[in-house]
Amino acid sequence: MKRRDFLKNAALAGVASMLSFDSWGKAVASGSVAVEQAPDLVAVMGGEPDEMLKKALEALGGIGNFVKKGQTIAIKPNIGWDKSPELAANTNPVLIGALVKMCYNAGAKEVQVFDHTCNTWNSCYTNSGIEKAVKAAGGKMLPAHEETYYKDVNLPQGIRLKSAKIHEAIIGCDAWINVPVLKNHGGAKLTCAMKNYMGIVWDRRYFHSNDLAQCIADSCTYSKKPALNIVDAYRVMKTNGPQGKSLNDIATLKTLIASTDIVAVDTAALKFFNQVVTLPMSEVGYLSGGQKHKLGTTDIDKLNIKRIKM
Amino acid sequence: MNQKYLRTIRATLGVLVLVLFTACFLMRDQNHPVFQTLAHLQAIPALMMMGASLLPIVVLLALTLLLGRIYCSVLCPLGLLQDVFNRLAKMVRKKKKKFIYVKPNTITRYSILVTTVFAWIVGFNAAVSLLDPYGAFGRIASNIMRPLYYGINNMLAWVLNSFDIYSVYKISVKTVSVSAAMVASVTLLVVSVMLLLRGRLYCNSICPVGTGLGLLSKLSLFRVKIGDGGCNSCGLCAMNCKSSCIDSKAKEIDQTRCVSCYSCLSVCNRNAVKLQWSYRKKSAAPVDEDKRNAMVAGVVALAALPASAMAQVVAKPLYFSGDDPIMPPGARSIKNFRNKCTACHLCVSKCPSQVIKPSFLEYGLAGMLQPRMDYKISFCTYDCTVCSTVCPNGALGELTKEDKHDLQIGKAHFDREICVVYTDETDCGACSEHCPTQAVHMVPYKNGLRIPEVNVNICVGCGGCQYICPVRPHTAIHVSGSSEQIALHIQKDKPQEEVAVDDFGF
Repeated sequence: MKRRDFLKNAALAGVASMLSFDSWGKAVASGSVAVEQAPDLVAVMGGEPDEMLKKALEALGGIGNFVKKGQTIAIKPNIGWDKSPELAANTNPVLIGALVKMCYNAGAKEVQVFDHTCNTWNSCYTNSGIEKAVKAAGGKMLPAHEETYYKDVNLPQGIRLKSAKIHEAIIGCDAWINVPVLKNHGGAKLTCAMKNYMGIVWDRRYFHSNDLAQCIADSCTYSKKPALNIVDAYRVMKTNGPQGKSLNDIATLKTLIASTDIVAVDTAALKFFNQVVTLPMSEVGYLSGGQKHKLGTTDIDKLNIKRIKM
Repeated sequence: MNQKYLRTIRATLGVLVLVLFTACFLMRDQNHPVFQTLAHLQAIPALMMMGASLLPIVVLLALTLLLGRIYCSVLCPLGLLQDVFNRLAKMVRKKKKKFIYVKPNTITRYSILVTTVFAWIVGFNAAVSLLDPYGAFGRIASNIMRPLYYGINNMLAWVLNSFDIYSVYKISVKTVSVSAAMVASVTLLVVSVMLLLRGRLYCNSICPVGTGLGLLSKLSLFRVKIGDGGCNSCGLCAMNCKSSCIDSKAKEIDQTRCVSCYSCLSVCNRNAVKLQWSYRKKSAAPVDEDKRNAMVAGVVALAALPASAMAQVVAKPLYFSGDDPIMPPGARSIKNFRNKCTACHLCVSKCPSQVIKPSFLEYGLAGMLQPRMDYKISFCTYDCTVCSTVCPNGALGELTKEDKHDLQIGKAHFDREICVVYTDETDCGACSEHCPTQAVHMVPYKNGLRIPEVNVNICVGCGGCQYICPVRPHTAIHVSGSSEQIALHIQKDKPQEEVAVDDFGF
């Protein structure tokens, strides 16, 4: 993150918190100060999902930079499909369970987890293993299968997507954490942190019929940005995504990438993905869209990256 | 010996069975094994299952030959529903309803029975569907009670969710069908009116199962009898007989209409009405009248034969042209499905993704109200086999997950000219995203774009593509049904080499 951008964001967040008494705004403002010394992006390789998460957060200055005492935290994994964890269509349940636990350890009042699934929602929650992991860690699974759980939100910066219905957990929480799984994707080419926004909105068909890549970038302009993006690349779906057909589509790469910069984290994930399957950045349209919206940078070589091998 | 406890046992069992059936029809994930067994013991489903298993029908025959029409008082949910209504009416009424003995509607009931059988033989299944008491109950539960239950659930969820309690969540009823709800309402109305006027009149003059079991009951081993000893013809038993089958003056009970409710046993002050071992005791029914009635019924049935054949002809034009309806997985062929399904809508109630919806006339008049897949409202989950496992009729044969993965219930058709990628030249791929077998896959198009392509040889017809396609009014990809569900023999991919990376790539 550039210093200028940081100052601008911090000022904006400060103003927002003054205007709306939004405790989240304060959290980001104060959290960002601590992040300043920490790396812009952390990549960890070679461990189990929970171990890698721990390493990454240590490098980022601790979970306390993102989760404050007494806060309600929303976690948004990818739970789109009625598939078992081995098939890697959904975020790794071990990772989500560990994250929920860490949030509570940091003093969170409540941790809520949800996704607007593609398959029948309760089967997805169950068979992904995420519901069990979240409940074991004391978190709450929220339903997201009905339109009434979503509220209208304006996206003034949006080019094709000017407004969207966003899940009330995101709107109501003090801070949210975006935890996608890295996958090949038939329509969007790659699904990662930005594409994961499609699970916080209600009407996804609109995205598909109004320039998918642009709508993904537009959805990420929603004023309440994730406090952190954590990419699960423990198991990576390299082909036939986002649903996958069999274990043949899966490569176990044991990696995790985390950053507050959503464009950077997706760019890093794409470069990582390119080691397995070739996919030019120009084909993943929402990355440049995100950069144009000043949501972050695709020029990750200029960032302070910490690489950890376990 | 005092036999008053028999009524209590019967009533208790009846309440339990009705509660179980209602709960299992209303609650999607409630599927008690006892319910499964009892659903298979429903008379018409047991007949439909005969090709696969004789056990259910043998159990029913044995039960009836032992205890008469106990089925109607303990197993039949439509009968039990009437018993509950009767009880409620009793509580509301100021003056106690007194039943009186009436003569049987012999011609009506045998004509309906024979006509229904003939109609089924000639392939006009709607008659069986409409008259099967289990199917009728299922339609009432699924199409009237279920939306009400969901409504109450959603109000509760609305309240609890606002307190951050999410153990109860909202459920939308995607599968409500106006036509099915109307047919169910008419059934409910007819049954209720007949009940309020004359007790179990529906069961004893219209229901073909009641009539059929009544015939068998003439041979049953245990029967309710009025003993010569204690009876003073006070008429209490007849007054409390909802089947109106006790002639207290003649001290006779019409076995064909007695539903073995044992109310008479409990009201008799002199212990004169008793359940007795009646093997080889000659029935007192006048034989001549029976023969005459049977003949009349035969004639009516013969007249019904051309009529039902005609109905079949009439049904054909009503079979909507264009796409065949898509049968739920496990139906095998349209012939099997249309002949065996009695539209109880258990699959509709149980489908986790709510994609199975009652048809109206999509299967023609003969297949009225039989369930179909509606990909406008949802799509079929790849790994799910629920409908095939709950169907008590064998209209949907049980599938394993592996069977299901290899079963084609429909075929996807892609209309490139209206696809978003073609018209707008932007990314989409929603269809391919939802395709579990990648029968719909993305191929290079232009400017880095990819466009869908369909390989029907591995298409299972789940409808995911059609459901999610954003193009309106007509989707750019749709699934058509076929009259046979075929096994695809999809080749399993060969295991590939493990991919390993030891660098981040950035």
